[in-house]
Amino acid sequence: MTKREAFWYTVIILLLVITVLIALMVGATPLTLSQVWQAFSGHDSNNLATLSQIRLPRIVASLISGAMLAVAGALSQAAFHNYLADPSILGVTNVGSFLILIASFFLPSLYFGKLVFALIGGILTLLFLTSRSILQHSYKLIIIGVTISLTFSGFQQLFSGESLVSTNSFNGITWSDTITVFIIRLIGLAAAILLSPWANYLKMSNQQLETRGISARLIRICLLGLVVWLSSGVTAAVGVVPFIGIIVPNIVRFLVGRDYQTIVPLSMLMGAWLLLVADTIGRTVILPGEMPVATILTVVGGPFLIWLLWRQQFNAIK
Amino acid sequence: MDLTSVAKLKHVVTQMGHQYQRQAQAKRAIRQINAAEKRARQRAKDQPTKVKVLVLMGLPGASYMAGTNHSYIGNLVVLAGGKNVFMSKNQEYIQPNDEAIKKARPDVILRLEHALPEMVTAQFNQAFKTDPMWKTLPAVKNHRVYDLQEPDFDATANMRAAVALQKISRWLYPHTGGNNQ
Amino acid sequence: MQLNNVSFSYHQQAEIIHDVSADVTPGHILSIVGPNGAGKTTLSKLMTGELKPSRGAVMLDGEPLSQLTRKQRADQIAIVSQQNQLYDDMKVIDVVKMGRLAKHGLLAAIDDQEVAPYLAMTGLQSFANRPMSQLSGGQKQRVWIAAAIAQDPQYLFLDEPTTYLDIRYQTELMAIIEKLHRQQQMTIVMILHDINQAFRMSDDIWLIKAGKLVSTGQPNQFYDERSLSEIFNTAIRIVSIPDYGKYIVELPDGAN
Repeated sequence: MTKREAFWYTVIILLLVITVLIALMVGATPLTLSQVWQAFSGHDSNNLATLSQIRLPRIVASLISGAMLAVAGALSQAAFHNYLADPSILGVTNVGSFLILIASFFLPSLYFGKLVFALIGGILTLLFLTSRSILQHSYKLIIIGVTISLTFSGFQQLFSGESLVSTNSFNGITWSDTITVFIIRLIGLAAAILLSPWANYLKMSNQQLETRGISARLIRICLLGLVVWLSSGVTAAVGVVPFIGIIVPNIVRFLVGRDYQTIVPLSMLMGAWLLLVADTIGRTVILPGEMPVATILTVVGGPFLIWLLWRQQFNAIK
Repeated sequence: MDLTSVAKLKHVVTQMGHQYQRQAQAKRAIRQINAAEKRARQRAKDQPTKVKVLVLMGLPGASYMAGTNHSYIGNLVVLAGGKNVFMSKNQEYIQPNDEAIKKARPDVILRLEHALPEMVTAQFNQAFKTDPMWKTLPAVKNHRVYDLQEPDFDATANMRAAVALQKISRWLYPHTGGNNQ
Repeated sequence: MQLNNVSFSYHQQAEIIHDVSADVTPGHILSIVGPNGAGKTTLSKLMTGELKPSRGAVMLDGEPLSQLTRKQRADQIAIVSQQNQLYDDMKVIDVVKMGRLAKHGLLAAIDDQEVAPYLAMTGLQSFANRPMSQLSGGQKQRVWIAAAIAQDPQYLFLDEPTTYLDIRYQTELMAIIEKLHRQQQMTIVMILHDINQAFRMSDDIWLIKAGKLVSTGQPNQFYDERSLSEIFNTAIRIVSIPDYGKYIVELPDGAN
């Protein structure tokens, strides 16, 4: 680990700890740090219920979801050779989300049903995007991805039959959601760290990999499989959460360079932090209502994306 | 047509009566509504405290929003003498926060299931079962959670407003007058 | 390595390589020489297994190359091709480490020590942690050679390794290749743009024209103005330069 990497690891871990503490304190019933402590040491059962049943599962869920989305973004960018290729931009998550809605007409709201449909949606989208020659043209890839994404969110609005679009959020997330969903996902995150060197290997052309005895196809399929696995997990649990997968890996690249063995774990931490910040803001700024985390991230992510494109002809990795 | 409150409904009915030469029918309908409003006021009068009401609108796809005083159902709650726990200056529906719901401690929960009622009811039941926050609410403890379904109830006012108001009034104050408290 | 009646064509189109049969002598430096479009790169790709012959076979230790797995080929054959660009920046040492993957599993963690010798052989020790994007063309080419020899191959194929390099880097690179050849006893197959470079460095020369192997032999057999003029289809003179030796020059048009 270089000095620079160690510095940023420290900064982000510190930010994470501070943000988790703040997230425990704020809400409809604001608590001081000592009240939080009192509650956890068993002196205040009412506050403990709020903390352990409402705030904590939500904090854990947003941390893990943020980590998953950021990593999915980083791996997808490596596999597509494109810094903008995030599952939410490519439509992977929107198709999944639409299929979940369709499925819920026919099946009762089973969690694993949702997961399966989010996965199917993601896989179909990736199969489509990796087929033909779309892969080779970075602008084409992004344009087609965005089109898919918009089309399916349009379908979703249509099928919801309402002017009010179902905006999923972390509100109402419970321990049982958190545990059943995310324990499985943690395996995905561990796999991402283990396979992060593969993301580096894909910086070489397929032919160069072949001559070194490596199947580029195998590596790409594994990484994209992991991308769908991670992003569909979040879609199934809380709906489409945009932009984390673009913002975080690109900031991390700016901070520590291009080595995916650092980008992946650091994106994980930073993604966790960013989504927790966004969700904590979302659930406190307009109490008793909530601002969906997707809205906040769009407000932040949109300008970031424009800046990214404007600052350098960024999207084709060269 | 803006049909987000009973008053607006009456206005629209009067206008349409004019337009289509059906003033008599329009007047009859409005009389019915007025009578229902009056009965509801009677029922709510003399109650020592206003009942706290949470209006939920279920959306297909596992989420829900809270209806404010600006939504049609929220307006019925006002007319029935209840206190909506989610007030707003201009929005009909807001995305509610669990903690805020817990803190508000509603006595009655009205769940609107107008689109795809079967699916939305299943979602509501699932959410109420799995999320421990709901069990802490007086409404759930005292079994005062009511499902609002078509044709009497909808997201906007319809000609069954009188029936709808009467139902909500009875749910909010099941005992007439103040002497039963 | 043996080539037995190797022919190649894309799909059903006209053959690019016709019936080439020859042996590669182990431990030698072999240069494939011929005019542009003669099929040099195609022939070398057939010899590395990147392309499969439409007829005939390339045999490696008595087995057809086409029947070896990707991994088995990588164990024996390393390639420095003309297309060496990266899609994204990498550190020098990480590029070289990827060569070692030919000897390890996909999940292996390769430590710095393991690639240190290859960096040393190519004089890259002090560049190990530099990003590729900060290197000059010649330095980059050295990294690709280091990555190839990190495969510890029997055969090293170099396709135009000196193209795009200025003359100082060309000489430097050739010195490195000669050193490697001496130290590692590697069989080296090169395609060289510069015919004089090829003749000076090689033990063996294959002359090809229009997809056919015209002749094979040691370089000194080929210092013949007439046959060279015929092969390259241009007027060629051989001159003697003091302190250098024979030098092949192409005459300007009409000077014949």
